[in-house]
Amino acid sequence: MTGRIPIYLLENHSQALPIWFQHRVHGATLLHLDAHLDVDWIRDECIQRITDAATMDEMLALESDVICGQYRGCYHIGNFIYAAIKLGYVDRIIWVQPDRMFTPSVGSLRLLLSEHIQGIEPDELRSFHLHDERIHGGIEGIELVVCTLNHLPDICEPVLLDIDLDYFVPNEPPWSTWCDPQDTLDRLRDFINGDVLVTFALSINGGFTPPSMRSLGTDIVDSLAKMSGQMVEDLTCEKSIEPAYSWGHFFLNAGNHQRALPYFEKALRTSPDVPGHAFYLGVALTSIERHGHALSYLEAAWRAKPFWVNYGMQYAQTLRHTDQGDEALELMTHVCMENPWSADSWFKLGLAYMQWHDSPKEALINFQKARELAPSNYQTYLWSGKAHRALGDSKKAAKLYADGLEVLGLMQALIA
Amino acid sequence: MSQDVVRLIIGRAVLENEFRELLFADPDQALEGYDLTDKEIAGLKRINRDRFDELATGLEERISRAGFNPGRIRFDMRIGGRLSPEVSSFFDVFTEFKS
Repeated sequence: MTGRIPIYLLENHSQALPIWFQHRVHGATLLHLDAHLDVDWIRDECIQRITDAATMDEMLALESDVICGQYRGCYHIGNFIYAAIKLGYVDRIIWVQPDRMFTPSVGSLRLLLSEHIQGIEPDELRSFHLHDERIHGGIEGIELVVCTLNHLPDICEPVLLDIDLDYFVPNEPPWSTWCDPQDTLDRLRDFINGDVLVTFALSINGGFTPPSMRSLGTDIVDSLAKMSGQMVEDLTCEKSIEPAYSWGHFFLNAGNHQRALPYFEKALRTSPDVPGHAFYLGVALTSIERHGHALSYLEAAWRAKPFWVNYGMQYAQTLRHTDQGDEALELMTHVCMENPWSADSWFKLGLAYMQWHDSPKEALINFQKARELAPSNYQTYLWSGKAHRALGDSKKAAKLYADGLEVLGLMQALIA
Repeated sequence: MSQDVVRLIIGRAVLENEFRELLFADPDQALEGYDLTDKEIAGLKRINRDRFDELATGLEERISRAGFNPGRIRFDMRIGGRLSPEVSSFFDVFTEFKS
């Protein structure tokens, strides 16, 4: 990474991965300013496919469409950094959270990682600790530091500077910046020079930034370019996504389901052949408890993409809400069989047996499968404990609860 | 071996409200029948009740959210597949478990 290299302006954050590939990044420190960590787990088969990509085009072909989300491609906006770890691109991540979000909360981080990173080992999960207003720990064998810009650790090595526009803009009203972007750039001045590879993602179509903030993103990148003397390579593709979808997605993420509804309706009218439009319209409808109306949209999305985990799971939940419990369970079982690597699917199937069918014995079988795939997910231990209790085995129930506490490092704290 | 018993007691106290009540109200009765050393009994008696209640309640609320709420569907927070921290500080100050 030497010489004048451009600043890359990205539409979606996952575009950073092929950029790093193109620049042959290896063992770098990633300075990641973002409201999200983007290290969701990726199964080995997909990692292998990414590893085998010989050209940038081959790698781009493995990226999930943002509307389809994480459900079928090999990497996406929520896990491209996990891929970068597994590929050896980065060996240290400094996740700089917006000040408004950061709490020096080891517990919150452990919960989050426990629930989301299927492959994380219990020892790694328990490694997180607070030191000098920063949370330090390890994931997948590399160092992860979580902090704010005020408490950056010592960084002596060259960095990859990776910024998401959602660092500056919360996805809640009044949807304005919480800090002066220029001040943030000034504080990053040590890392802004012509030799640092910079990626800047707008994250509107596939992320959490309000669509109205697009020009703010380009303004910040222009400022970056002025500071460093670098050119900007614009890889945005605003028109690739139906604008109504972007707004609907934004309001759905912001929890304003009612407001999302007309946007998804418009997106579906405009492009009825995009399954994601039907899916998210269904999601918005279920979110306001219009399950009957949601059903046909969710079914259409699922029939278009019958193997996608969340399409099937969401359709199943809505079937259940329309008194079709047996069909819902059958569908969830089908989804699990089609995606046997998905701990979350087995876990949800267990929950369905537990809560819909009052069948703790069957629930346990599925919780067990989830635990084998995700040994650090405390939820599967605790729900297994509940199932044992329902079966009248208090001792096994207590042991599983103890195991769940141990995964999070709580047991050690309690009996110290 | 005895540490396993302590783990079971703590696990049970998080899971069962009634047992937790008894453990803090009348620890001698709650621990009757368990094979524990005096040091372990003393350790269990030193657990801060308020913090422990907060932990048990917080965990219960959190895992309930994973379940299927009969009233409405809460769409998975992983929409878009991105991790975002949220404030779940019910067990943040580990050291405060002991009073």
